Order: sequence, then structure tokens, then C-alpha cells
Amino acid sequence: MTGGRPGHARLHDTAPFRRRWPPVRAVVGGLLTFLLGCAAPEEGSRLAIVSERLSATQHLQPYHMPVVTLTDQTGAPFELRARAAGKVTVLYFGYTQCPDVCPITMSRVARALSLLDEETRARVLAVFITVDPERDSPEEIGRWLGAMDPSIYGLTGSQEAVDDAVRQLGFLLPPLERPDSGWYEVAHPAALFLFTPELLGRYGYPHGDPTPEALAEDLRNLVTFDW
Amino acid sequence: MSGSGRRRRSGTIRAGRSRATVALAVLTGLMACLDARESRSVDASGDREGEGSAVSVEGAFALDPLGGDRIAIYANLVNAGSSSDTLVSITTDVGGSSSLHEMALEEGIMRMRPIPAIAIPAGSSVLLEPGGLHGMLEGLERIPAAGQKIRVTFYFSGTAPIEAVLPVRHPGDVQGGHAHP
Repeated sequence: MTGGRPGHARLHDTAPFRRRWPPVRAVVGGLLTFLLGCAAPEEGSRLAIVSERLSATQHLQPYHMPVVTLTDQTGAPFELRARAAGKVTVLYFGYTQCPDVCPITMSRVARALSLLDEETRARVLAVFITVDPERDSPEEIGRWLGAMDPSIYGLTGSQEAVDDAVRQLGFLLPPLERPDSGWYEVAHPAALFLFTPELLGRYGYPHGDPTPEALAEDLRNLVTFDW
Repeated sequence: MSGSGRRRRSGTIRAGRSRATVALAVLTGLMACLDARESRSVDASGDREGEGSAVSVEGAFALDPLGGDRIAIYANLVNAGSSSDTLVSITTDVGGSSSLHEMALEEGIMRMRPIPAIAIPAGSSVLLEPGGLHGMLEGLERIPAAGQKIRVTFYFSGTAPIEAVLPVRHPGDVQGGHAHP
């Protein structure tokens, strides 16, 4: 599909490309857009339409759902990709001793879930992963999420497994230094991630703070879209 | 610092000020202004400043700890006076040891750090809000829940302590929040 177009070969001719850079850049940009449009005209515009409807920010380079198996609040193993496949997943990393942003974000997720009809809710997976697994036992996470929405999965595991999951999304957390007693700093990604059923994190809220109504509407839009 | 014994009875949310204090503030105004420059950086030790400070606590609330044994405290600290002041600690009638924290969002990572005090420059206000600054009490003796009220005392370096009754709010009911950098 890329060959045979008049003018296309000239892209490899670097000298004139550099000299007439701005106009050539426009031509290249136009050509790329045109080619991409040809590749999937319907797909592209369908995605653009759903993206435009959402309150969430679109990630032009989607995240990939981390490959990780953790433990849910009941003590059962939870293989993230297997459980999330085919669903719209809301994913957040935090810790239960987090003073405000974690409970506020997860409370908003809980409120959003409560606004969904049963059919839509069944196609949404909500997952909280602790970044402080040593303190956040399954029981502790169960208590914490229980005060918001017990249907949200709360995952814990080894520090290595949790750190690796965060790293797979491109975030590098500072190592936790735990004194024998007292306070220690915990860092976590601020974003609330939205993954589509093909396990791509195409959307998110960079500060983790959608209103419950906006999140619920985004979930409805994502669930009804034919991915 | 968990000493509930330090609590004083002020009866009002606004710190009591006498005319004498205000007069003294005027007299020491110039010096206080010079002090204010230095105390913009967080400093818990300033006990001379604040003679001209007139700090009040507005819109304070606590966040439902959802069964946990720590609670975050938020408020708008307004300094209508002519010299800076600092919030140095908080006590409650539900116990817990006080600390002050700031949140910082750096490259998508949210971090929380302890700070020794929160400066309130003269003639301005400092908002303690979710995602920003807050007071925290850890190791609560009694765990409050949304809908209840707790009694909280704010301690300053330059103003008499301020006691206030704070509503406990469920995190889902907190508007705004998340200070965006």
C-alpha cells in the first residue's frame, strides 16, 4: 500500500528534504494521514467519535494491561489480564493509608459504578492495586474497599510483583524505605486508567479525579463501543 | 504530639485577640514584616513572630478514615494580620498523633512528604485540601465516621490555639480536591 505513490520515493532523498523541510513536513504529514485513513477509514473515525464523547483523556500511545497475578481481598489469586479481557477496566494504584487522593478517587469509582445499570456494570471491572502490600493485607484492603464498594477488586501481593506491574505501565516508583516504627513515604501513580476490552489503556484521568457522573458516562460509552 | 491536655477552651473558631495585641502588632509591624520574609520557608521554631497575626480557620473538615486509624484534616487558614504565622500541630478529641504533610505530583507520581509546619504569610490564606497540604492524626483512639463531628484544635506559633468542631465527610462527598499543579 505504501509503494508506487508518486513522490513517495522522494522522502528518501534527504538533501532536498532538509532544505525544504517545512513544506515537505506538511506533505509527509498529509500523506501519512491519508495512508492511515486508507488503512482503516471506518475504524479511525469510529474511535475518534467515541474518544470525543469521553471526559477521559485519550492516550495516543495506549498502555498495555500489566502481566501480573496478585491476590484479591478474599485471598484468591487474580490474574489481571485474564480477568480484564473482554471488559472495560478501571484501574487505580494506591494504598489504604493514603490520606485523601486514594479514598477520594476510589469513592468516585464506587459512586460511578452505582450509577450504571446492571448490564453495563457486568461488563466493567474495577480494580485497585496497593503499592504498599506489606501493610495492605487482603483483610485491610477488604475493610477499606468495603466502606466504598465491595464489588471493586482490591489486589495485593509481593512488593516485587506490584512494582513490576507499575513499571509495566511506565512508572518508576521510589523504593519504599520502612523504618521499624513510624511514618514512611508511599508514592503511587496519580492517574486512574481506563482499559478497553482488548486490554489497551487507551484512556485515563491524569489526576484520578473524574466526577462519578462523568466516569459513569465514559464507562457507558466504552461498554457500548464495539472494540 | 498527642497531648490532648494542651487543648485550650477558646469557645470560638476565631482566635481571641485583644486590643492590646493589635496595638502591639502595629508597634512591631515593621519587624514582623521582616520576619515574615524569612518565615515563608517552613519553620516550626518561630515563636516571636505572629504578634500581629490574626489567624482564623474556615471551612474545616475531616475525611472519614473508612475504618482506618488515621484521619486527615483540611481547612482554609486565613491570616488577616500583619505578620506571618505557622500552623505547627493539630490535636483532636479522638486522639492520634499529629503530623503535617504535603502532597506533590511529579511526572505522574503522587508523593506525600512530612513537613514541620505550614507557613501562613501575613494578609493571605493557605488552603489545606485533598491532594495538597493536610494535617494528619495517626493512631486514633476512637475512629469517627462520616456524619459525625470531631473536636479539633489547631496550634500556631504566633496565635492562640483555635478550637473548632469539624464535620467528618465521606471521601465520595468531597468536592474539588486533587490540587492540580
